[in-house]
Amino acid sequence: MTALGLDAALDLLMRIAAGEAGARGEPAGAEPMIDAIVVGLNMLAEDLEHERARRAVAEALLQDEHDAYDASPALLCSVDATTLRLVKCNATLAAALGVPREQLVGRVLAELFVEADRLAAARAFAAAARGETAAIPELGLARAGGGDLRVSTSVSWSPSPTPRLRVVWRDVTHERRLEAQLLHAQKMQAVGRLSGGVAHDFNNILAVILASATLARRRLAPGHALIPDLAIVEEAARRGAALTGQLLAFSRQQVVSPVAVEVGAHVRDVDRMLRRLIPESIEFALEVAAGEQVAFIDPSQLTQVLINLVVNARDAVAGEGRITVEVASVDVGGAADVVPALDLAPGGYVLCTVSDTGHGMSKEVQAQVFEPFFTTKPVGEGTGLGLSVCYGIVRQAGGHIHVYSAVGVGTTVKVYLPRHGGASVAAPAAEAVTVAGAGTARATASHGTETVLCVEDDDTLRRLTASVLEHAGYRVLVAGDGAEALASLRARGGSVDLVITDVVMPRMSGRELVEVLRAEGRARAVLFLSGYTASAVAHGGGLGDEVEFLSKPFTPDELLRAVRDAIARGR
Amino acid sequence: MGTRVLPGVADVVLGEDGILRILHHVGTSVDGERARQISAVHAELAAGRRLPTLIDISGIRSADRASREIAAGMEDSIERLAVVVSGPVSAVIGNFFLRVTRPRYETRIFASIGAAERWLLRGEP
Repeated sequence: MTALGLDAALDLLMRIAAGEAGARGEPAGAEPMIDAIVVGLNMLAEDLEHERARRAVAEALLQDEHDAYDASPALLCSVDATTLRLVKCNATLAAALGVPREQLVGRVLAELFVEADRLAAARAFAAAARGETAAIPELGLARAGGGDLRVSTSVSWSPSPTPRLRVVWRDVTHERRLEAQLLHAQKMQAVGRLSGGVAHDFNNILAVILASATLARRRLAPGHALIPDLAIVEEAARRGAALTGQLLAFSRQQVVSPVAVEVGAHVRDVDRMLRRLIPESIEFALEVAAGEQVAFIDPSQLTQVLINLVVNARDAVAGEGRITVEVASVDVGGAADVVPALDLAPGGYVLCTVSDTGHGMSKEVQAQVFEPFFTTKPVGEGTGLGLSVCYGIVRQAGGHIHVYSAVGVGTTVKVYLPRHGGASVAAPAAEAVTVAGAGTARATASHGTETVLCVEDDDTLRRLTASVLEHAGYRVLVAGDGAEALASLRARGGSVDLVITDVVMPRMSGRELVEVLRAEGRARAVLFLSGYTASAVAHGGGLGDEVEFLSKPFTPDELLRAVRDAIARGR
Repeated sequence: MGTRVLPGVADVVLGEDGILRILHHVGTSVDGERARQISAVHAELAAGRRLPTLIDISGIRSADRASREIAAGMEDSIERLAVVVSGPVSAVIGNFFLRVTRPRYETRIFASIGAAERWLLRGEP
């Protein structure tokens, strides 16, 4: 019943009561009048009740719609198509932006976006209001507390009650962040594979250069004019080896000896060394939280990470400032202050944080900071491998490293290492794996008469290795890969005292060869050449107890020492 | 022409003059069911035409909302309607129908059948 209807009914009753309307010429008796009034009132009451019920249903439907609108997880708003100002929005949008709803209504739509996207937003929505397009690019809404909310937009045009645009935004911030992390991880993986491959091949070349230069120097008479030049060649080869070692660390292919390390205690142990790296003008603070902080990592590599991060922090501060190193035990998975990363699985971690108040990094620099050879320093002031090495070491330890930085504010590097359940050890435990390399001083005998099978797919390195061994008195058999070695041994019958083999070879790997030779009783001892070694092999997994490794490149003396050690272990 | 008697409800008569007359029985109360019966007979007699219609409610006691809505919706078979009332009760009902329910065809209230028929036949305003 409309207001007019109600008025008409009341007017009717009044006129009936006054003896008018529809009863012309008839006397209006009291009883009929009362009956009429009762009938009229009943009809009025019935209509009013009907109207009340209709309105209640309509209001309930409206409230339902309003509740659904407000409760929708989508960010909803309606915009006047003429003025492009908000006329309505839901609670989800207000909460996402951190702005009360009443402060959003009436605002120009483009003003809700971050400054960089406002012009694009204004143009896109104006075109949508004109009916020219319904495609709006992905843009960033500005949050009240800072930061932006990346949203994808759906827009439809509605002619009523006044021409307006209905806007539906979907928050894709998390999605884009995960995509970026995935892309970054894929890129780092690809770069790692490339780096590892280059380093492996380069190591073979360096091994030849280093061994040949050493041999040549020894064959010359003392005081020969060429000796200093050959020493320079050896030194250059060693520096090259150090570089390839860093690349291998980045590509997670370095030979490692992880143990359970109490990280807090380890950082305290190296505190003095870290302080020596920074000038007195920079304040240095070390904070180790209480509680157990045990991680499974090679201690020397942990030290390397700390050194690299502290040196980077020192260079960023460049004068007066502060560097803080913190160690704590954290749990990931539901903690609001931990940025979820693609590969940071829920669980317990030891968190090492190195923070500085230096010049900070832009987002563009942050995106590349772990790439090998990337540096913002002038030429000659850094190899650009420091953070790459950290990345490789941490990842090889099963952890995660993340950089947070702001230009003019500073940088924080967070290293998450999976918390280890076993007891920590102060010194490396006895291992099944022995790694030989530059500077190792063990067996001094450099000659022998045993029979050695040398298996190496690099032709030059194979010939050089055989030459060094033969020169030292060994009887040497050679093969280009595992299959050739096995066929050769089976053909001549018998066994060898030592098998020297590269790990990764075509047709049959060194590991597979050794398993067969051992099963057939054809090899008493084994020496792996580890220029390209997966960590499972380096840890001696599944190969038995007598496993020796020799890292490429190696000097002739290192080769001969490793051969004696391997033969001795095999007896 | 034709006559239908709905016991306890009304006589529905299509006269030679082309007026379809609905003569409610005295003392009846008209509800939605009865209104539907009348509407069906009206449509049958009208046979697809819109006819000038006279409804005499002078004797009825009440007409509920449903019956009024049904009557107001008979625009396919009613060209215009003359409502004949007598006494305050039927006057209230008639005016309620006219001013509150608001049928979509032209409707007037009369105190006599003659006046109502003259209006229907001559089309007088």
